[in-house]
Formats: sequence, structure tokens, C-alpha cells
Amino acid sequence: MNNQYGWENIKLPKNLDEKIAEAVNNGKSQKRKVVYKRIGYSFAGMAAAFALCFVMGMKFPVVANAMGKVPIIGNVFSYLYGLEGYEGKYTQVAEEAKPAERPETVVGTENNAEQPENQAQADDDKTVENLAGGETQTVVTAGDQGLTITVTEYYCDKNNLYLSVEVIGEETVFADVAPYAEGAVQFYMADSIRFDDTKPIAGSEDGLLAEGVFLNENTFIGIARVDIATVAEEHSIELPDTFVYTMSGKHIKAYCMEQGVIYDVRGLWELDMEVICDSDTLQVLPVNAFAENGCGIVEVRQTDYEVQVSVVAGAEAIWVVVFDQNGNLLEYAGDELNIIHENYEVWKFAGKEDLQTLHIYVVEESKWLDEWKGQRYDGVLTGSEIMALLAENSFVADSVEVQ
Amino acid sequence: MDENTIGLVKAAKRGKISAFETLFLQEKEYLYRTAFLYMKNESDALDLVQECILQCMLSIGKLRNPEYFRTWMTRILINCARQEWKKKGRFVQAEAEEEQAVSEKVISREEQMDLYHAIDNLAYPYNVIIIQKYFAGMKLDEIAQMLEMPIGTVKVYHARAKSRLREFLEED
Repeated sequence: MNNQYGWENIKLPKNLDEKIAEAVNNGKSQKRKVVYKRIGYSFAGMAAAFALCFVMGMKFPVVANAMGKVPIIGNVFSYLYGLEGYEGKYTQVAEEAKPAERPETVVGTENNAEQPENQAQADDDKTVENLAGGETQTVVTAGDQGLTITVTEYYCDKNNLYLSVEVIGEETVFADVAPYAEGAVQFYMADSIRFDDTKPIAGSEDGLLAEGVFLNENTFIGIARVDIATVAEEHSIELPDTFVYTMSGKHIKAYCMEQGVIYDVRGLWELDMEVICDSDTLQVLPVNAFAENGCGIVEVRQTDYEVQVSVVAGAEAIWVVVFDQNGNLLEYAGDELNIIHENYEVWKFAGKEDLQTLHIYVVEESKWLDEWKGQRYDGVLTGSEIMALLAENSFVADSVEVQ
Repeated sequence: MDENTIGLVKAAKRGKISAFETLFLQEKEYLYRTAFLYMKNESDALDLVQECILQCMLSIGKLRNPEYFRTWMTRILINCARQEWKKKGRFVQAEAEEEQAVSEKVISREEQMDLYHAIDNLAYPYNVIIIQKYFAGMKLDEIAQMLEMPIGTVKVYHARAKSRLREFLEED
């Protein structure tokens, strides 16, 4: 920037961050049109966890009410998903989320006999936390501010690896956040997977984002989602049933937009955990319905965690609309929009809907956004009426039995 | 653009909401100050920032190269600004500027405009070229890319814009 003409003299408004978050949230709503039944200000980078809660009509007071019933630390999945009143499949997932087992040789562990001497000194200020009974295995290190990152639970269905993450400071770290404020922690860390003594396969370039709540001024809990399927696809490998997931980095940022604060923390964190996939729950249902313009529905994948619809965009700007068998429009479970890019996109759903049959419509994006969607949300057309409209006007449509 | 930011843009293209938010928070100073230069007051600038963010989110799928996120975002910002100018009756196309420049000079002389207001009197895309080059620090080829104009055209417009701006300021 050139300050010669006063660029830096333009004073930034105090509420700029707030306005940005507001705009992002608005953008999200424009895309999803999910009606968030929330009170007060909303954090736009919503966790998949909380997005699900909202789809379920859950509110944070419910989360707060559950506080006394669920021990949170070490039970993040249960805490976030196994809430009273929640009837979705996430409760099953919470039970199935198995603790990670640490492989025998892990950099930075107490038991690593092969650790080089020069590494030992570097690791002096690291802490390793072994949770009760050694069942829940965690690899953690402490950063400059005594910030410990702990992964306590995970769930992997070979499509996605979900990690429950606790970020706990020895002293006050998140000084300005209110208890139970929503937020996120971005881990600027390189991650990789390895198996069969092969060279580690680099994962996402994006780092890892855990979204959840700040329990208090020194504790954050959240869930991060790693797109394992994409990593495997990019490296043309078939993901084995077990692998080691690693993360390593020196920089994290914690965001609490409710309070308009961002915490920038430097340190050294490493994670090295064994992952056992639970692919039994994965059902892949080929559809392969395509329109003449090249767009179409490839397959539907269902796990206990989510339902995905994989589509091909072709040359058109398309939108994918999915209804359950009762004509309920499915909302998004995750933190992603239906933006078609390159040649495929995966949608994710989960929830209370009756998912025995999915009615899937691939439609022209502008038609859906500008005309049909509004009629749906404004109550002009019922679910079955708009399904009939889409059946006549979609590029391609299909119904899939998913049970 | 650093790798982290490119990663965020890719994540945003995949629809990751938190990536959008992080990106726009990273770009907030640039975004707001640029918006302010176009709108000249805080309230309108904030509205412009919000509209730009919304349009970026709705059309991120059309961004082909993540490395050009800022250029692309700026183009959207300027398009949004032009819509606002039209609403406010301020929009002047370069082709129609010649006749209006005379009366604008009168106004500028009378109101003793400062630099910002002098720029305000420039027609599109002259104002954009001046703001992006001298305030936002963009190179002419980047501006050409942003405006989807040949670099030669932008160079000509740049020379004209400087000349016009000089005239306005001298008159002040």
C-alpha cells in the first residue's frame, strides 16, 4: 500500500470485524437459507457441530443446560452431540468415536526410546498427556503461552476424519471471551497421513479448523473435520483401514467473533495419532444419472455421521436440491455451501429427516437461487409442490433408497 | 499471495464458511480503505464492504485462479461501488466525461476539494485507476486484469486520469 496519499490515515471503524462477520453470515444465509434460530450475534464460521445443532433447532442454552450432566473434557463429541433432546444419529457416533491409539514410535512421546539427543532438549518444554487408563490417547505439546492442544476422540469413516480438540491454557489465554461463546481455532499446521511404513502423504494445505465453544477464559473445545477422501483421491491411493494422522505447526489463531477478538498464539505443537476407520457404516449407492449437458448425480454415500450426495457439474452452473421422502428440504450439516467447482462436489447432510428415500434434483443455479428457492422459503409452494416443479425443470433428477 | 491465503481461497471455493471469514478479516484493511476511497464516508464504505463480501461469497465459484483473489475481490468491490454510484447519481462513464468535466471543474473550484474529492470527480474508470494505483498500490497490469481491459488502454486512461486529477488539484 502507498501511504503517500493517506492510505493508512483512513481510520478503520471499530465495528469492522463485526460487520465482516455479519456479511459472511448473511452470505451463508443467502446460500443456505437455513433459518438459524439464534439469539444475538452469530459467528459466521459455524462449526459443523453447531450447524447441526441449529438444523436440529437446538440453541446454546440447551448446551449450557447440559453442562452439569456431561463431563466435557475428554468427551467433546458427547458434549457437543449427545445432548438432551437430540435424536439424531450423532448420539450413535458419539458412542462410536474411539480414542486414538498412539503408535509405538511417535516423535515427542515419553516412551520414544529412539528419540535423538538433540531432539530431547527441543522437546523439554513439551508435555504429554495420558488420559485415564491410557484408553484415550493424546499427543500434545505446550506452546509459548502454555497452550496445550489435545485430541481426545476421533471418528473416521474413510471420507472424513473428525477430531475432538481441546485447547487449554495453563493461564488465561482467551481473556475477553464469555463462557460458552462460540468460536473457532485455526491450526496453521501441516498434516499428513502415513501407513505401511510408506512416506507420509501430505494432507490439506488449508490447515485445520476446529469450531466449537470457549468454555472459559483458558479452554476451548471443538471439532475439526479432515477431508481424508480428498487427500486419498489427490494421491491416487486407497485409504487403508488404519493409518497414522500427524499434525505439526507453530501457529494457531483463535477466533471469537461474538466478542470480536482474535488470539494469535505461537508455539510448537505436534500430533501423531493412530486412526482406525469405521468404514462399516459407509454405504455407497451408485446413481450415475446424467443429463445431456454433462451434469449429473454420481452417487450417494451414507454413514452414521452424514449423508453425502456427489454430483458432477459439467459445464453448467448447477445447484443440487435434496428432499427427504416426506418432502422436507434437506439442510446442510456441515460448514460447506453448495458451490460447484471444478467437476464435482459433495454435499453433506445429517439430521432428523426421514432419509429412507432421497429425492435429488440437479437444477440450474440461477433458476433455483432467483426463482424457485424463494417460493419454497416464502411458503408459496409446499415441499411436494416444489418437488413437482423441480422434477419438470431439473437437468437431472433421481430418487435413491438409502436404508 | 502466501500459501496460507491460497489455501483459504481454495477452502472458500469449496464453500468453507470459516475460510471466507478468515479471508475477509485478513483483507479487512484493504477492503475497507478501498471502499472508503470509493464512498467517502464510513457508513457507505461499510455497506459497500458488506455487499462486496456477499457478492464474493455468491460468486466464488467463478474465481478461477485463487492467487488472484484480491484482484477478483477488488473488481467485485468496484462493481458494487458503481451500482451505488448509479443509485446516488454519481456514476459517470469515461466516454461521457468530456462534457461534464467542465462543470465538475467549476464545482471543484468552488468547493476547494481535497484529494479524495478530486478523485471523486474523475469518471469511471479513471477514478478506479487512480485509487487502485496510488492508494491500494496495484500495478497497472494488475489493474488492467482487474478491469478486464488491455494494458495499453489502462496506460492511456492512467495518463488521462493523472492529467485530469492534476487539473482539479491545481484549480484547488
